[in-house]
Amino acid sequence: MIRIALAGQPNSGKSTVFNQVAGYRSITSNFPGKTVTYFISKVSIEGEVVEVVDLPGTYSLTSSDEAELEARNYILRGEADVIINVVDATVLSRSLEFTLQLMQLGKPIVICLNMMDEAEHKGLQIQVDKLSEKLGIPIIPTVASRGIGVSKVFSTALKVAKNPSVSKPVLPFFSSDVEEAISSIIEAMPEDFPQKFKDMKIDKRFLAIKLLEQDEFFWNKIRDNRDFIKRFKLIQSNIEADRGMPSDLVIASERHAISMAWFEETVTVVPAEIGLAHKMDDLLMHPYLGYLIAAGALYLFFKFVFTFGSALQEPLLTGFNRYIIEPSVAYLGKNTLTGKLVNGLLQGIAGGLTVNLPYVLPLLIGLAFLEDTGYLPRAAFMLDTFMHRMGLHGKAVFPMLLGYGCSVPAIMATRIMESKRDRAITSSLVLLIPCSGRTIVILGLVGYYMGMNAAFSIYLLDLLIIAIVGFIISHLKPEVTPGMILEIPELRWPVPKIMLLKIWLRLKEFLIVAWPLLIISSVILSLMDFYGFNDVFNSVMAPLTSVLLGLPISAGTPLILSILRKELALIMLSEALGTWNLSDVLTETQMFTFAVFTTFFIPCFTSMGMIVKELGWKTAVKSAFLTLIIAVILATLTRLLI
Amino acid sequence: MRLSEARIGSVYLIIEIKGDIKVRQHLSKLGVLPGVKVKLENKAALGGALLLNVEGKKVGIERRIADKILVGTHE
Repeated sequence: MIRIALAGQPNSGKSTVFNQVAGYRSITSNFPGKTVTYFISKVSIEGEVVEVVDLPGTYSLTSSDEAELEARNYILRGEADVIINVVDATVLSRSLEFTLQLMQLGKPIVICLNMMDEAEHKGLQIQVDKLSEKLGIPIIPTVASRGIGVSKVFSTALKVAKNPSVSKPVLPFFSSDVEEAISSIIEAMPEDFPQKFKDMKIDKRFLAIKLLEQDEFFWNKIRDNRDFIKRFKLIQSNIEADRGMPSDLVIASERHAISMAWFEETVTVVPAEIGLAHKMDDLLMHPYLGYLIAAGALYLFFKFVFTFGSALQEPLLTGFNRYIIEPSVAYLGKNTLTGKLVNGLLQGIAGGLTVNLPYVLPLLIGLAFLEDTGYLPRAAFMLDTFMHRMGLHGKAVFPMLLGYGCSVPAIMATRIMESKRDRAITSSLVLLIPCSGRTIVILGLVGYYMGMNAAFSIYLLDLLIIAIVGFIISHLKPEVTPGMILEIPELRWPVPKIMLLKIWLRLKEFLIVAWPLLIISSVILSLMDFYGFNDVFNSVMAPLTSVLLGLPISAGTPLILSILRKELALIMLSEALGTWNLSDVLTETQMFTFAVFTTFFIPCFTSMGMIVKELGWKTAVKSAFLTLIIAVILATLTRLLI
Repeated sequence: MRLSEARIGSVYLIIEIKGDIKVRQHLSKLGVLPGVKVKLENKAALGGALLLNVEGKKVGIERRIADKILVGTHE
């Protein structure tokens, strides 16, 4: 089957192009052994079924981050027959630098010159045929958000895949001094060099350029050849001395110059009027007002999510209990195995439907709106300085605040951050934020029996711990991308169809990953209850619960099982202690200790599953371990000090 | 002069980017390179980020990084 890969820079509309043809049928896939994901779909083009792969959007093809490395190696392994390069016409010169890098990979290319309407508004008149001739690549102008030109892009790609001679990229030369350096490097290269990259088809020129770019991936493979390295370093230091900049910047400047030349030869810039969008930006990113607007936007966003969520949660929960769970359990018998199993199953379904979904859905709508209008990067721009105190970037604000509702959508929301490090740190911190399930424990136990101030102090303690932990882990994990360098795309009205599709694709991930986990944990919970595992748990947990934390031995089961469903911890504690008036059996210290422990202790199974899915096992295990340690330390301190 | 000390509304020529390869690579991806003209469009208060216009495209960079970019006035 013919395989077409989509490649392009972030914000080029690449996913829009992909979604226009693949739509809701696309599925997410991981690169082998990696957490970098891409979308894949089978699409029928002119009656022929082809596979379309949407590679991660990247600014360049260096190996400075995992997504770029995987996207590049995918192409280098020759897995695609043709590449569609989606180019944002409004930033043509910069986008062509990426095209130039793609051209070096030696695959036939079709350019999808997207956002032609906006480029026109900006006063850019692009001579498409002339540019196409210069590059030796077919170029199709499109407005992907409205579907204009998209089918022609794919039919052209199909034609090229069958007859690669239609797309013959004309690789331009660099300045003569750089070309000389490249030739000398090629001469110094041992014959077997390109063969070190077994499954990749690369030539010596490509390798020489990559080495000048100081590309880690290629560099690591040849570093044991001391003789070559010595000669390479000499050539490199010569060109660096001549140009007065590091060799990676020399190559970057060369690419920049070539793209600029292409741009200047094929584009006429006519003055454009300053649009509303530009004036809006002066306000949205105003040195002072920008902060107020960002705060207001955050407030509205969460108001929307929580209003929607709480309005639905209550009636759904009551309705589900009254009309479905109670009659079913009553019919099957409360203490029979079937009764327990069905109860667990239904509780799991109810949990997803009534506790998670009411928050996940408005969250996804709100996020898609903020993303598609372009406000999200603007908010990140403004809030950056605050999040920095914790070693994070501005975008982390959204997932962190969402964590107060439910960790699952909060972890999903970390996707707005590009770097995996930032996502991992933010996800770990999200787990420390009391979600609504844990809020039930804090308010129902400490708040109810000890007063609101005591409950509030747990929230304050929590904020303090998050700041400290954030500070520590962000310093332990040095930044890969050093600080915030963020493209701010143009403000635009979202296209409903594209937005809905985005929401659906993300919702689907919740439905097929998080919800089933919740149902499974719920069933396990019922089974354990039926078979009387409680005593086993209690004695296993005794060293922790009674010796270290000074809690009743029977608190062991609720604590362990709270991993499955946080919001049930309090109910289970009451059941385990055999009373609904907990002040009869627990001292205030014990209540406080229990609440602190539940707040920080390993987050629920569902959110762990979400982290595994999004960031891999290692991150999940590490963050679970982190929360466990924090919980034990804090709860022990609570016992000793309060 | 450092970019972080530049004046809002003025155009500058980037002279040098200090800092390691990661900083350089990341900046050059968004077109922030020696020899390129940038306009400083805005500077968030409270030590916040800087908004640049790089060849018609808006790029936000935090102050720590703007400290590492040396610019000259360009007329």
